[in-house]
Formats: sequence, structure tokens, C-alpha cells
Amino acid sequence: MRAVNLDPLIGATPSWMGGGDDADGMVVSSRVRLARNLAGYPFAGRITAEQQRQVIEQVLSAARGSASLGDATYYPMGPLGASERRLLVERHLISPALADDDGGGVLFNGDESLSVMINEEDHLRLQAIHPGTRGREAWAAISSFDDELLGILSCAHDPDLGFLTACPTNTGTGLRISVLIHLPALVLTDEMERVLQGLGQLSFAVRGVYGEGSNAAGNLFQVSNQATLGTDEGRIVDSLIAVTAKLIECERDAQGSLMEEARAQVEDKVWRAWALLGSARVLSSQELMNLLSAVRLGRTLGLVGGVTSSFLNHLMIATQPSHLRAEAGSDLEMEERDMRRADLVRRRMAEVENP
Amino acid sequence: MQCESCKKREAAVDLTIVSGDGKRSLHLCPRCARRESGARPQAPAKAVTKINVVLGHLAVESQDAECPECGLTYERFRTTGRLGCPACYGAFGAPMRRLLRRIHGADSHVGREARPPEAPVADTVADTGGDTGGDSDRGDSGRLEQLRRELQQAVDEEAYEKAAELRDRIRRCAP
Repeated sequence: MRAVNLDPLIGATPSWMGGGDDADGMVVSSRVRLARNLAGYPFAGRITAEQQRQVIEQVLSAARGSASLGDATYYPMGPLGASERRLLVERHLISPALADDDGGGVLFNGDESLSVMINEEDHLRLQAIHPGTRGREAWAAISSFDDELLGILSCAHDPDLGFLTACPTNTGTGLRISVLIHLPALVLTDEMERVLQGLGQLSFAVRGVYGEGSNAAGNLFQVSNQATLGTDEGRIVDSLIAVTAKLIECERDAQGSLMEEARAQVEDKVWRAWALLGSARVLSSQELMNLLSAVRLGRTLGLVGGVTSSFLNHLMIATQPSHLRAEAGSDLEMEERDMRRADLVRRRMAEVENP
Repeated sequence: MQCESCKKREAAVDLTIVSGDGKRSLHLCPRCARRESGARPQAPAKAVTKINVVLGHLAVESQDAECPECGLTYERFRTTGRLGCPACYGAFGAPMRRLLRRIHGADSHVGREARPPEAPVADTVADTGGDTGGDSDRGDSGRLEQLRRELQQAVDEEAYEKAAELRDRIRRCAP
């Protein structure tokens, strides 16, 4: 089996980590994905290996001719080892489901903002991921790429039901838009349950990104639309952007009351986290996520300068297991990994000017 | 086995209900299953959960359906939650519609269309009056909205003949 070199990825910074328009660091990234299937082929659950190859061939040839992904790199899953696949998952380029299947692959551009998973649950999963609150830009990017593909590929589509997908939860537009949002004050003030319920009633799904429910590690949540049928793409995008703005407002309110009632404790929490990041010798991934959350909150509140969202986003990804393993060049035991994680964080913190 | 809800009729359906306080299974007769799953609040259940709840009660009427294209049975779809091929949507007929309505609150697509591969982009733009994007309000004249509302209502009332007529009218109006 050929070893595939993903090293160039380790040193590179995906454009979505850049942090622009991020509502003071609250919104890490905005992501849009479209589910598409080729007409004339069964869906993933009933497809043969030969048909999978044909799907890949058709999609790659269509993508190569496109302006958006003409110079993209294709990584078939087959030759990739488990930790390399995991690395792509950590970078949000593929789903765990794609990583589990040898018959698929992923195609992505240089700054990792646009990608296509082939032979995942649907034949094609197009993804655009942009920094901060730039969901509209992500939609514009994916929609012009979709136009290009639809001009070349014949996709399963019904005049009444729209795009036909393997799971009926994606039927219609096949569009899922999500934001990765940091809501520490809502969690600290025990308001998160209430917010989660409200969002559910509005047909938005919320999940903790690292962990489940309202106790997500790092206070990071992914909010996305639930319905894909009966509302056009533009409105789905608009409504998620509107609900994000509302969430930012709720979080700001919660931050306001937190500062009013417990300013000293909040400042203490932020600065302790800062000190630990610069000094710790062993850091579990969970602890790091929580420390980064405190510093991110400090940044939003204007307590700490010197760090950018981009810096925090990058630390968050670079310290995940497969990234640490790739940097080390060998497998790591958990203890070793926690030490290397602390080392990396300390080195990066040393580069930051005094806040 | 006896229905756990009415304790009278024979249970035919396993209904899984997932709510804030965990997951429970009920063995119900078709009538109680319909009432139970219909009465569930829409949110904030996960999509898969919703499918299971809805599939539980739809199964009664379409257990035998099988897709002529790929051979997937409705029973199998119930287990996996995944369809076998594009033709499954048609093969599973009315229950599929109801499932979609339950998940999305709608069963009729609004938004971008697949373009036939031969059609050059420029021609398509001209045909639809310059609007190929999904991010606009195309086709949503007040009349169309009204028809869609009526259609939704007809479907909700299971007035399928009326619904079919309305759907055809919408098709004629829609761009």
C-alpha cells in the first residue's frame, strides 16, 4: 500500500481559520454543504464497488474541468492509513463516515475552503467553509461550483421533491448550512438549555462540537438548519444567518450580566487560563479546549489583547491527536501526546506579545 | 401482545420515543401508534429520531412496498433510515410523502433545479429570465404561495384528489 504524504497540510493554515468577520471571536466558521447524487446509480447503501469507481471517475472529470476545483488535489481513502484519515476529519475535510469506507475519496482546493466528498452517504457532498460569519460567501462559492457541476453531471432530481438523497432528511435542496459558535456566557449562566429548546422549536439543530448537549467541551456549538425541503436555498441561508445574529446578541447579553455580577471571577478565570496555557507541561485535549474557551471569552470581552481568533482556531486544530502524531512523525501514547500538546501550546504562547 | 396504551387492541408497532429524559419503547396498536407519534412535539428531536417515530406508524400500511429499481423493501428502509436509489421515493408513495412532511414541514421542493447536462448555461439563463440561482425569490408570487398553502392544507386533511389538482396547478404556474 502506497504511503500518502499529508505533511504539506500540517504546516498549512486553512482559510476558514482566518477569523475575519467573526463577531469578536464568537463565530469560528460558517459551512455550507450540498448533497447530490448521480442519476442512474443506486445510493451508497446499495452501490457496487464498480459503480463507485464510475461515480468517482465522472465526478473527478467534471471537477477537473471546473473553474472552482480545477487545481484541487484528490485523496482516495483506500491508500490512506487510519491516522491520515483521522487528520482529514480533524481538519473538517471529511466526515468520520467517509473515513470508514475504502470506496470513497475527497477532493479539495489549496486553501481547503471548497471540497467534495465522493461516495459518502450521497455520491457527492460539496462543502464550502469560510471564516467567521461569512456564510453568505460560503453559499456563493458552493452555489457557483454546483452550477458548474450541474451543467456537466446528470443528478438525481424530481420536479416535485428536488434533489433526491439517500436519507430523507436531506431531500429537496440538499442544503445544510451551519456555524461553529462559541457561547461561553450562555453556558456559564445556565441559559444554554433554554436557548437550545428555543432553537429546536425554530427547526434548527444544535450540537456540542466536542461532546454532547449543553456541556460541550470548549463551549463550542454547531447550529444548523433541519429542514431542507419546501424552502429555497436563499431563505435557508438567510434564516441561519438571522438566528446566528440572534445567538450573538443573547451571548452578548449573558456576557454583560456576567461581567456585572462577577467581574473579578470572570477576569480571574480568563487570566488563570492564560497562565496555564503558557506554563502547563501536560494538557489533555478536554482541558485545552476549556482553557482556549476562557481565553477566547477574554478576547471577546476585550480583557486580553495580543491573540487573534485565527491564533486560537489554529491551536484548536493543531493540537488534535492526528495532527500531533503527524508532527511527531510516529504514533504517540496518550501521556506522550498530552505532553507534546502542552509543548506545542507553550511554544505558540511564547510567540504572543504580552497582552 | 396487547397494546400498551389502550390495553385493548393487539400491538403491531414498536414505537421508539426519544425525549429529553431518554429513550423508551412502546408496543402499540396502529391506532394508538398514530396518535402517539402524531402528538409528539416536533422539536428538538434529532432527525433520525423523527424518522423512527414516523416510520413506526407508517410501517403498518406499507410494510410490503418494494422498490422496483433496487429491490429495497420499506421494511429495510425502516431499519436503516436510508433509501436505496432515487426510484425508492416513488415506490414508497404516500407514506414517503408523509415522512417528508413530518421531517421538513413540507413535501414540495422550492429552489434550484437540476439542469439537463446538454443545456449550455447561457441558454438556461435566458429561458428562466436570467434567474438560475436559488438565492432569490423566484416563482414565489402571492398566487403560488396561496396555492401551496392550499395544497399543504389539502394534504394535511388527506384530501388527495384535491391535492393532486392543486399540485398540477402549481406545476403549471411555477417557472
